[in-house]
Amino acid sequence: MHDMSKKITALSKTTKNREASTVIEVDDIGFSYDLGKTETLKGISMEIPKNQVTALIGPSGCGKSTLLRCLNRMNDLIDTAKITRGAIRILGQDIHAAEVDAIELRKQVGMVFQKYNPFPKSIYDNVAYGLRIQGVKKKSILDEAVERSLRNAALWDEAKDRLKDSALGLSGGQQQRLCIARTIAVRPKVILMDEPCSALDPIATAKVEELMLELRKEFTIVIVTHSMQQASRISDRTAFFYLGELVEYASTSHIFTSPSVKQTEDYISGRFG
Amino acid sequence: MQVAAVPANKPKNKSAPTFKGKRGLRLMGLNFTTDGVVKGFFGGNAYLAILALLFICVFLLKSGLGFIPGYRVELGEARISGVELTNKVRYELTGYKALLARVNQAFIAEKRNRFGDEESTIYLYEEFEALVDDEFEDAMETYLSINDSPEKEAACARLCKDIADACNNIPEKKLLQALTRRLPELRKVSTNAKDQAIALAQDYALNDAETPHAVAEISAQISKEMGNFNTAVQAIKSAGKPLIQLESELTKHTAESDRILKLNRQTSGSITALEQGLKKAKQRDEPPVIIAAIEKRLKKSRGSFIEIDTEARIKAVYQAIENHDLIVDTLLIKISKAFNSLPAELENELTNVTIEQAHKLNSEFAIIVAKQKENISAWRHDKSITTGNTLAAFFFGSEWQTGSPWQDIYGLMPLFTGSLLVASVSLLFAVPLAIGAALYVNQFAHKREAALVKPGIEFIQAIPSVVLGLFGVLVLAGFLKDWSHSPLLSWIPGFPITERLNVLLAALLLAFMAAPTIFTLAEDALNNVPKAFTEASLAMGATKLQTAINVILPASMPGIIAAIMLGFGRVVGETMVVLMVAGNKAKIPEFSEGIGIVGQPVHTMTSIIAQEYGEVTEGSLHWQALFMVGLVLFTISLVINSTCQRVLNSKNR
Ligand SMILES: Nc1ncnc2c1ncn2[C@@H]1O[C@H](COP(=O)(O)OP(=O)(O)O)[C@@H](O)[C@H]1O
Ligand SMILES: [Mg+2]
Repeated sequence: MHDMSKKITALSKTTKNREASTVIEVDDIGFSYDLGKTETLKGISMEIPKNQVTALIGPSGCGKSTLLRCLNRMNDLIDTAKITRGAIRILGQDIHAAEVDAIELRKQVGMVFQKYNPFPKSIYDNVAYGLRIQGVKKKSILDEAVERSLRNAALWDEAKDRLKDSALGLSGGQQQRLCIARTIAVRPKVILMDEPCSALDPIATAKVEELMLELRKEFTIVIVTHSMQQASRISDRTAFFYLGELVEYASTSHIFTSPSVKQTEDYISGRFG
Repeated sequence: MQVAAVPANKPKNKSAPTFKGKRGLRLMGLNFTTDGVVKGFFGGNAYLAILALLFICVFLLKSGLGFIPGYRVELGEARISGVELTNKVRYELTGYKALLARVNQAFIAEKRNRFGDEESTIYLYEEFEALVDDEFEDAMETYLSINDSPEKEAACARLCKDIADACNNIPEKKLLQALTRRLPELRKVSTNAKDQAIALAQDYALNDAETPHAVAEISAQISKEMGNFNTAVQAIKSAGKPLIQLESELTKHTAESDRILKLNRQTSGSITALEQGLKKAKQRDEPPVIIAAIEKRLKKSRGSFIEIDTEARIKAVYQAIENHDLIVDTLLIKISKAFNSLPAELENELTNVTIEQAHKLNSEFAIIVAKQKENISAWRHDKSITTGNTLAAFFFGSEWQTGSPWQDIYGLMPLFTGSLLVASVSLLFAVPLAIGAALYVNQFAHKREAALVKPGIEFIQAIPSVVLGLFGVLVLAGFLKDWSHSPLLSWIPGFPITERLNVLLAALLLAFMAAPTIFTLAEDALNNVPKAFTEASLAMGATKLQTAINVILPASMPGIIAAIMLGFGRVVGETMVVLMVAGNKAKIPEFSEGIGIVGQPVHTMTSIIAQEYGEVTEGSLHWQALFMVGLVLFTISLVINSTCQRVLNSKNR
């Protein structure tokens, strides 16, 4: 356990000083769950760099998940949800522009949920799902994508002999890694993770954390977490939210060693939240 | 990792608990507490339901299973007496008669088409004559029931007027003839009836402006133009005579021995009863008068056994049947010869269709004959009937024929296939409809829309089935039939439909009834799919439709299968609608017609019970047969329900 976290810290160090270009640009975004009566997000602006892990932290109910779900427009599914101001640009494209199709957006911006949720299908079918709905039928392509994704998700060795078995037979940690494999199978640009480890035990958590550091080489990762240690272990940049506002956003080392705002310091030192 | 320690069970109160409950009322060694009584009440109700179910099961089994030995005895008698053999010939005869009727129909259709109005005049004459006769008889009956003389005269006047009124609508000269024919009778009842009638008739004759062609004249023309057709019809008609004769000869030989066997069975039944009664009476030391009376009855019963030499009788049967093969072979040859001279392509579509149907009936008849020839030559009157034979005769018997003056036949197959066919066809309509609606309401509809559609569909269940049946019989049946004749739809196999009441009609209405059941259960199943699956799929960039089809539908499959099966159970068990609209023809539908099968009338297991329960006497074989059918239905429902439970449970394994 201890070894593992050391290893993770070491891994994160090696990649820390890569040059970063912005992938996601959140520009003064306001969001309401009730058609604008009350704002859940109150004018948030932040730039999320490429091939880094960005952690969103803050007390429960401050709007982290809400922001995350704005990024792939999952909030569209709520009838009364409304963007009240501002804009979000991903790879330079305003995602709320009329010509943008949320379906296409979600193919580029994948999501991993708090509670692992593989489909009640075989392991293979789970990973192949995204490609299949995009119309890929050729078995060789699917086979290859499934293997590569499972390898990327560090699940290949455990799952290769039981690809046709139900995914629900895997352990919790394995199921969450399968969900990650399912998400990366369609090669998105961004992966959003909403407390991906909160339902996992420490060992499974460590594995997923290790995986994220691997994945950031290829993907841009935004992760919501309630664990300070996790944020400090795996993220390059950290954003602290409070009551729907972005209080402080800076490099992780800065936030955890010398936060500029008092609220941030109180929060990470455990004085509230 | 931390394991939460289980707190030690330390009592928090200072006074230690005693763990003693309240003492209830003690009665008859039982302890009555409020809890106990309430529990007993609910438990009692639950067990009452189970008890009722058990009672029904036992009753069904007892009444139904008595059928098998009873039917075995009847089948045995039918065999020994030769009735069974006669039935085989009769079966052929039915096939022949259907064929003949169809050929006749074609002839009439053609005649109508060619001679239109004149044809209808002949028809009208016949109808009219019948009408006058009917009216007359009615009026006569009323008249004769009056004794008083002045009233009688008045009634006579009414009588004459009634007749005239009845005939007034049909301006035919025939009235005069009909009245004149009735005059002698009229004269008997009244002195001035004659004058009245003649006056009326003359009155009528004066009004009769148009005189239609003489009947004879038209007939002559018909025979001139349609001579060949007519000859063919007549040839088929006369070719059947030897077969009809054979059947009646066999009937003559076998019916009597069958009757005697049945009488003797009754007698032996009453002898056994009397013997038992006598034994009991003697045991109980009843007065000698009673014992003597019983003995006298017993003696009389023993004497009423009718001697019967079945061997001698059966000889005549074997002799008669010897000619069978020759008769049917000749018949087949004659029919096919006549068929060759039938006109091929006529202008009238109806004639062509009818002739085509006749051709089909002809080939069917040939098949029947071939099969019966085999059966008949293999038939032996002295082979005994086993329980296995009886079970096969019931479960696989292809005929259900009751209330006939002849032998009743209880074969489940026509009813079973009828039920299954109607149910399957209705599911074909109901399943896509209901599942589609459930998917839509659950996945795509706006909340407000769902709030409107869902109760709407569920409300269909509230329609009493008899109302639905009424709508089916009076509205949809005619509509469907007319509609099926539209040339736009003639590409659908089985169209146009010739029968008003048929499988399709029943299936449509049943689908309407089953759809809400399937819809509600399927919607529940869809609802039970965790939202996390939907979210995961949508977050992968799947559309709502892709999500519904690839994730939600498969995930809810067990529930949906259970929904379909329960829908099937509902349809199989439904009675009123099928009784009203399925046509109630106890004949195995002809699967050779392909999809056209849906245009045929059928009978079902439920509707046969509903239709025939009123005419059975308690304990009779027919009574038991209906319970057997009930038992089969019950078993089917049981199997369906328990399979559903298993399917649903396997989901949460
Ligand atoms: N679907 C929803 N409809 C209405 N309000 C919501 C919905 N989801 C979240 N909220 C509200 O929005 C606020 C932010 O929630 P969320 O983004 O989930 O917080 P967290 O930072 O804990 O992830 C909370 O007050 C929550 O009650
Ligand atoms: Mg959250």
